[in-house]
Amino acid sequence: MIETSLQVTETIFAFALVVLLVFILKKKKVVSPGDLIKYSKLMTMGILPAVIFLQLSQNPVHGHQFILVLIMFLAGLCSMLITWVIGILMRLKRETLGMLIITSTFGSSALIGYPLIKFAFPSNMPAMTDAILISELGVGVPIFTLCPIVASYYGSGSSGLKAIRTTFLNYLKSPIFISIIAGIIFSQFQRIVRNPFLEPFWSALRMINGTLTVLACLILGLQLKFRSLKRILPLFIVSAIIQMGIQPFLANFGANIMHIGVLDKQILVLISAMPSAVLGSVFATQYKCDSETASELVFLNIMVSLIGIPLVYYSLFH
Amino acid sequence: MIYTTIHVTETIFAFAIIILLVNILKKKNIVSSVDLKSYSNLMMTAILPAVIFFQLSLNPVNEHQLILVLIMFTTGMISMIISWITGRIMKLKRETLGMLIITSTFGSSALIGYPLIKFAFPNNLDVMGNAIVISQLGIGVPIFTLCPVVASYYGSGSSGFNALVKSILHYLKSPIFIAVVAGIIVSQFQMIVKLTFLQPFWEALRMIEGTLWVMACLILGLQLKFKSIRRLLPLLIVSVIVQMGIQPFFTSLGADLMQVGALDRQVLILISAMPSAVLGSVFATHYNCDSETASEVVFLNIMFSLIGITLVYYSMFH
Repeated sequence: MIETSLQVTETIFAFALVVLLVFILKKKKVVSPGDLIKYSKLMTMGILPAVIFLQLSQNPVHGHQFILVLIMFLAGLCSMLITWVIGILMRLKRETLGMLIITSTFGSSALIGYPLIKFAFPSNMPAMTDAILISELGVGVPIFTLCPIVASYYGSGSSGLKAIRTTFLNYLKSPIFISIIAGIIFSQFQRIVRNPFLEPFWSALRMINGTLTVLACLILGLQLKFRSLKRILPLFIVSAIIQMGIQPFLANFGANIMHIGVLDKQILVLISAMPSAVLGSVFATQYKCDSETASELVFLNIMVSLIGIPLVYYSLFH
Repeated sequence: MIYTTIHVTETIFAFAIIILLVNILKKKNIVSSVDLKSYSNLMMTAILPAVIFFQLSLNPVNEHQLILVLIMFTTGMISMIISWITGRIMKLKRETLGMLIITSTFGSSALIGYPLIKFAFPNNLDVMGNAIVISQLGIGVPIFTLCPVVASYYGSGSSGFNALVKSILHYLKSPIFIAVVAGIIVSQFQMIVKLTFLQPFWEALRMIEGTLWVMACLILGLQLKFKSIRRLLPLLIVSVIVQMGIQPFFTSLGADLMQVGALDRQVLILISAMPSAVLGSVFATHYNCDSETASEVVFLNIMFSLIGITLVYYSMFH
């Protein structure tokens, strides 16, 4: 257990070092915020679908993994409710309340979660499969369904059922969702998957898998901007506590009730402790839901996760 | 024999699949050749220096290995001169001559060499370790030192002694050269390298190393157009003969002269017979050294190695 804790801490620091390198490259004008769209596109349309398909196909999905998805989903819903209550108590204005719910509920499970699991649990394919299922179905689906609903309800931008439906339909048509379905179907035919003729194909996907972490850091590094902390301190404290404290605690609680195995529990807790999703600020912008504060909170949350994630992990597993 | 062929085939097909994927992404406008400069900038300024520093720091060279690296280096120089003479006889234009030298001299150790050596010398950790160092340094050092100078000189548009000095000076100031020197220096202090608190740093560099290959393929794939096979054919024939015929011959000669042990000799011959390096096309792109032709020759060279490496391997062990 101590070894895994060290590995998690080491991975987070390594991750931070790569993001720091991106900052330096940004300063030296080797990369620029203008490249963000290009790399995000490559990530969501090329790298992520390939990695998801590889991981899911190579590891048949079992029924018990859907329990993990359910726990994650419920932990997210509880966090949403808690944030709403706190927001009401804080007498936040409408848009800020919506923004707080978004940044406190939905974690950056793919962008930070996958690389973290990949390096913290090296050569452990089932761990990565767990992470993908929990992340894509337990966090991804709510992000693309609940998040736009919240943003649209509290925001002052384009709202209504049509806008929400379009967002969700776009997700269903996205390469990420298609690769999840294709991966789950393919995983049921392990005789085909293990056919020697397909080995070059898997080798190619494994090579693509190698780029995931650095591309994620590159995108993060390009997105992050330093801003004033003072103005948003109370909101930030709330979102960080819920995102990296209450949510993993609830996930751990759910895992204990359902008698989940140690490895599955570790993955579940780690994924649930991820800092705010960058996508949250995208929806906040789209639906005019205090987007500026949203992006500041996302940044601060990610910075704090450097200490927060190892701390949560250590406190729950020692 | 049959297993080697299968292994080489597998790796080469994986490479072809990635190039195919890049082409699909290009067709879908997810990646575009407009971004080539920015990808190659990222490679040359960040990814490659990080990988070079990482590989050199972790693989200290001893006296014995230095001789092997020297043989590889000298063979590379001879191949360079042969391809230069051939290019002059063929009356190639300046950039194409530089491109021919690059694609004929520097082999693809990362793509095919390293896994092949791993496969050809299994179950012997000492030999494997030795083989990895020879493979990393024997091919790595010439690629990282001579290749950028050649590409910069022939891609610069001006010729003569002054242009050569300028290219060398330009290289000496580049992050790649700094990484080579820093890596060699740091490799002499393995006690510092192996310090526990430095592990996140090496982990970060390992993450970056994971992207090297796919990024190189991305650059190569974006360049591929195959306008005229006819024009390409003589260049391809020269580069294949030099790369997979003349180079292993001279390496064998050098190994005999220096009375290198049988196993080291085999490793040397095998890695000197590698097809053109994918990185060659990255350098050609960065320095405008007929990069389109470079990527086509590299691609076809790697495809041809399916037969070439098998033949070299066969003649070596039979």
